[in-house]
Amino acid sequence: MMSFKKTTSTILAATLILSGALIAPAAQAGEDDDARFLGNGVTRNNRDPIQTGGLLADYPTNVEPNTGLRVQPPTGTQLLKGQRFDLRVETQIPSTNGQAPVLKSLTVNGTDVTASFTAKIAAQDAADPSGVESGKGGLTSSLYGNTVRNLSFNAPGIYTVTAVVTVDGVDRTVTNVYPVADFALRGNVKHVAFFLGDAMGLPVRTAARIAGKGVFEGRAKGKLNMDRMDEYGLTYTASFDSLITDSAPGMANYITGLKQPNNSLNASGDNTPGSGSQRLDNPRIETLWEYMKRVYGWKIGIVADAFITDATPASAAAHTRSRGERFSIAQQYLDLYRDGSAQPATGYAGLRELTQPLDVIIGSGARDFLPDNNVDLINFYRYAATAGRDDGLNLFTEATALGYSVVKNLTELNAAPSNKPLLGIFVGDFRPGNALGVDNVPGTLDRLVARGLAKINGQDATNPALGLTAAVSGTGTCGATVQACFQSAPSKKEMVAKAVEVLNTLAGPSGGWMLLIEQSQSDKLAHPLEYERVIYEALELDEALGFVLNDPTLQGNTLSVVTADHAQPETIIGVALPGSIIAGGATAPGGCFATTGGSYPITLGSVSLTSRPCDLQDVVGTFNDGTFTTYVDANSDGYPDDPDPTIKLVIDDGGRPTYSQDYLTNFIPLSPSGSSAALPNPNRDPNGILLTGNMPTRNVLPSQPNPGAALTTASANKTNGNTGVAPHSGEDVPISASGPGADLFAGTYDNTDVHVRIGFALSGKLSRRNLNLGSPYTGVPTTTPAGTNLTGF
Amino acid sequence: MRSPLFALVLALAVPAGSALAENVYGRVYDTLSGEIFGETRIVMFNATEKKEALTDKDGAYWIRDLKPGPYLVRIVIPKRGEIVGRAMVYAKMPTTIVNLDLARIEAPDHDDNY
Repeated sequence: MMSFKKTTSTILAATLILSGALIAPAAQAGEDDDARFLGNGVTRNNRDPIQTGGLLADYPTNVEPNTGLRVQPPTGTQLLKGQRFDLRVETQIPSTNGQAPVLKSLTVNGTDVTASFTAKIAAQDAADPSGVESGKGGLTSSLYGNTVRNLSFNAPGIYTVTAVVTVDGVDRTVTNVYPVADFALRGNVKHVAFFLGDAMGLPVRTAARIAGKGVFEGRAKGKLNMDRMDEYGLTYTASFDSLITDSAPGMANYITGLKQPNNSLNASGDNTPGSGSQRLDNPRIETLWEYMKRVYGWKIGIVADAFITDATPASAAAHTRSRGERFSIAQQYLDLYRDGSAQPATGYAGLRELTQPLDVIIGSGARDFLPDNNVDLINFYRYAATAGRDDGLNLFTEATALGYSVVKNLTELNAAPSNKPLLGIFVGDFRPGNALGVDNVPGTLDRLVARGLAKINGQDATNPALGLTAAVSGTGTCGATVQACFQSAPSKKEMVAKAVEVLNTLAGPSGGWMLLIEQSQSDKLAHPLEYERVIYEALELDEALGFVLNDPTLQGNTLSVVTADHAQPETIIGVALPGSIIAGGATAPGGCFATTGGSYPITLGSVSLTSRPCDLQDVVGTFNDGTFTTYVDANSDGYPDDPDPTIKLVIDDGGRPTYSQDYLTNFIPLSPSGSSAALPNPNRDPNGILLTGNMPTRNVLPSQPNPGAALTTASANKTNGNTGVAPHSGEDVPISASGPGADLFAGTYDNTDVHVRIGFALSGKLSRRNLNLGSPYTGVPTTTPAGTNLTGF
Repeated sequence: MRSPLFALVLALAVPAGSALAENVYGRVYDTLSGEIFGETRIVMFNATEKKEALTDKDGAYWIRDLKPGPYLVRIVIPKRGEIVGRAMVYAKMPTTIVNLDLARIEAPDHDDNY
């Protein structure tokens, strides 16, 4: 009888071990596997292969198959020498004999560390009897679960960790293997600027170049800054548990070497999935930002146009199983641990040791920093009174007491001293009905219009339809009008310029810094399919990139990396002539489709038009009609003066809700879907073509069937989710790099391998050709060191 | 994709007369909200099989003696309705763990989670 040792896992498991014991390798294969013929190679296999149906499925992981025993971080996690991580051993299937499972042994490269492990658990439990410090708050006694916090391997090599836990009287075993790369700061790289264009896949970069620079007789008339970098590669964006990542692991994987589950920030899953502390106590890993500050005293910063506790910026500095823990994340940025607040101190000594206060925090989302009913929250930032922190903390006051400058508009930002850490929180898009929302800095196009630098379809800020003329009521507001408020929000370049100035000053001539710069709205405006605006977002990130690449204080010693966390299924499908649409051209009003009282059935076309829905069907110029676009930049600010020139790009989406499209830029960003993802927003392009969607729509049965009762087919849709937005997509994304070590980023690799490449660059390696050749700066030796080299117990 | 040697190994490894009866264990929870779903009905089904269970107070359930293969999983949550997920039940595994994380199964309903 063959014994099943473990499932195949992910990267490290080329472990198809065909030894004499005939251990079956692949978990997916059953008696029939996918072979067309039975084992004799001749007789037709007439049973359905296991993989029938092509349905999505749960995924294999590296666990002991009787008890779900596993060790976190998962096998294959790529660590740097000295990088901190929590080591967790846990079972997932409960014991049945009434006795608690027991750790029998834990070995590292054959050396027993059980006593050290259990001693540190005991010490953690003594400090926090509730068990949160050891990751077992709320854990039932029939499961094993213990986390030792903040260990690290202090020598490079391959480390095999084996845990044996006794459950129901039987010893169960699981093994993880960790490659640990060497690291030694050489000093030739003193700054790392990591530009993350959220959802900035290849089509977005292409569209930004076409719109921003133009094309003449087929040749690009110019290149973006991101087109002129030293080296290019591709990254694979899958998270620990999904081909389609979200922005949390999408960024966090880049700077930890850990494949993380969707929605997780620098933490792996565990067997306590409950609320509160059970989400904050998950096994964690140190980010490169934290590592460089802790070990080398470097300064660290985050800049975004999203609410600053959003997943991408939080990837540099926060740890939680749930990216939605915004209030806790804001405190972790400031290293502010206080019992009774969203981020307690008791039970989180390990977390406190791990997190490092950020020196520069620039973004939006004042509700994570200000308490309910705060005057600035309401009057300046335009949130509802109850939108703020319910623990009563005022993090602006706290930050000031900690020595930060706290600023909330461009004037204050420019005036802030460069020798103090900086917290800058700016106003969001608070126009009624807009698809971006008050949490997020207004989009680039909308801010350009507010500054008089752009128009939309020939309309400027004075047209009330753009929502900028409205007065802003109250005292202590962001401005007298919406336009004035939008003018007060800095551009990405303005944010980055100040961040660099502050980081340079704080780091001093001998120090260094890491800066994460996110362009968030390339994603947040792509979700509602506001694609003209997405082009402006990529251009704004590119402008900030140009500042860093050309800054005289950063020449020769700055590694700049530009990439995306994932893409969206949007691409360039052709061009369109807006003039033909408006000037009595393609479509008479109300021509393309009609709902039945806002619902189904929906009629396309009309009695008189039976060959196609409407003349708008012909608007897209494709194939030989893909003539070159005519964006104009008369004021030379680097942005098209109007997103609807004579000939404009058409970007559309392969994954979307039902929506209508008239190929003209909306005056304010609008949601594509209406009362559900199956119906278009009646306020958006009502005269447009109907584009039916392929995203799940909400489908809830009106009542719960009794146990045993027949289930209907009404839930044929695969999820209960209402996805009235475009999704993320699963393809590789481009990564580009400039500066010392840029060559290391050529090639194609998992996003988790970016972390070790930045480490190599900081260690002075210049070329990827000798990444595995045993030179003094080799990243990942294949040797197994003697001893555990595991410190932190 | 599988080599002939692999297929041969599997054929030899299958004990004669084995019943294809696998066990599934899992918990139903939502990692984003931290909710654990006890007293929740789970139905695993495909074209030929259908079995159900009720989760305990920890949101945990067992379903035994399932044929290996792909399944849809209906999760019936009080006051919320039905949510459909999927699972792959593996052959020759003592237990297939199918944790049903609603944060994964459901599409994000809040743009903070994109």
